[in-house]
Amino acid sequence: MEVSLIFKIAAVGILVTLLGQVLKHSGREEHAFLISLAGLVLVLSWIVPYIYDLFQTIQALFVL
Amino acid sequence: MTAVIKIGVLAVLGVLLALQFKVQKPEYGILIGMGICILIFGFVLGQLELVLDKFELLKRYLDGSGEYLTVLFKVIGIAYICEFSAGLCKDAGYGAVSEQIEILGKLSVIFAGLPILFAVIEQIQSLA
Repeated sequence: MEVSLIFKIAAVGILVTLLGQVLKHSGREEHAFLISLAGLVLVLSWIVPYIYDLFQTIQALFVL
Repeated sequence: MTAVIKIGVLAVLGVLLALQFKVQKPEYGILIGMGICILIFGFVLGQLELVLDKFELLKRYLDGSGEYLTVLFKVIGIAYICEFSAGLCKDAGYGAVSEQIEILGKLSVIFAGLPILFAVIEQIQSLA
């Protein structure tokens, strides 16, 4: 839960955009799509546990 | 005071970073926004512990109204979750979905507040 989370997401975003552009201009559209999908799944796997913890904490804290 | 400034600067920088992805990869902008929301709530949690202790003190003074204060706290929790998810949906551009979440939030708040309403009505009937 540090600020590095944001920078990691940004890094993955930049990488995926770059790779996507390179693949797109070299004629491999489907690879570009797969790369962006993989990047999205990776970032989601980072964020979803935090969201789960967030909602668990709220539930415990506010006696929901 | 400096913590508030730190959080403000973190939020603005994060949003500026997320703006870079607005054109080519909007989903990463939304994910960065989600990350910032979680970070800020992590900070709020720290402050909330203090409020919780005072809350217990308050409950001891008003000894009769224990469950009403817990309902109040539950309503705050519901409001926060609905606000968090509705805001994210609005950022992503899906206003209709965020409206649904807000309606859900309002209904669940009303539902959580019903016991208090009945308690008040019973009080009135017992007087009249």
